[in-house]
Amino acid sequence: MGPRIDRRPLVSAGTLLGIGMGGFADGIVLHQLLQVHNMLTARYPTTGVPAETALVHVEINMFWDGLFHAFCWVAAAAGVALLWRAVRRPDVPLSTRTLVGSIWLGWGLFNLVEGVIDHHVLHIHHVTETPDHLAYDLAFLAFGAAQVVSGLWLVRTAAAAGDRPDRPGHLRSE
Amino acid sequence: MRAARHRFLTAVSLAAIAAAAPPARACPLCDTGTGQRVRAGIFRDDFAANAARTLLPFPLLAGLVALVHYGPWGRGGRVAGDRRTPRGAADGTAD
Repeated sequence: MGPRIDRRPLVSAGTLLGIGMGGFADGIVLHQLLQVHNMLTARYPTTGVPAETALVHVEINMFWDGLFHAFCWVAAAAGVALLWRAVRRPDVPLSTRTLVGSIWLGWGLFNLVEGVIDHHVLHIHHVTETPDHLAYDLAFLAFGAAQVVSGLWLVRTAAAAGDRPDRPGHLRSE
Repeated sequence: MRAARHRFLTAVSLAAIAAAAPPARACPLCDTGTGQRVRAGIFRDDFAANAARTLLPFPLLAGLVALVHYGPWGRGGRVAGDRRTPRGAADGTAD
């Protein structure tokens, strides 16, 4: 009889990877491509101020964005390390559905935690630095919650399906 | 022996180049009035508080990952067959 299967190492690795990737997605899409906010734009606004002040504030925000991205990198690297440990264990089912669901779960957790803390508790920035930012902040939380629910669903349904292996020879639970 | 000598020469060469290179000038604003305002805006009395505000989500997220990793869930039936050895061990690909 083989060892008891353990899904937690793969799920925690995927969750951590998702947190890092979610942070990068936030930084790349919202901070850089759309430029709707930066890390401390509620404290150092980049709009509605003289041009020279806006430039200074953009540079200050760029510094804090960099610190934020550094920790996103650490989270992603730690996720890769956990994933490597998980795939080397004989008792961890290697299910693509579990991994994808875990990454989606981690991304959603990032959006929920970052959204609640930064947008609603600390008010260091909002999704848009406009008078109607509350609607955007709540939509951001709703998106994160939907990601968490759907990620959990993917993980749970993968377990219920017996973690079907993606290639012959991978682990299958009884 | 030749490989060690090659590495030593490479290291010495790189050190010499680095020592002779002029200071990097990657920051276009550092010596300007704007650059000085930026530095003053970053390294002020509330630097630690701003760093804490920026990084606060990460320890909380790490706690959630720890809950996932050590939580009382996710352990189920037994592995079909005997898979006590790491994948690849049988064909020698595991290190």
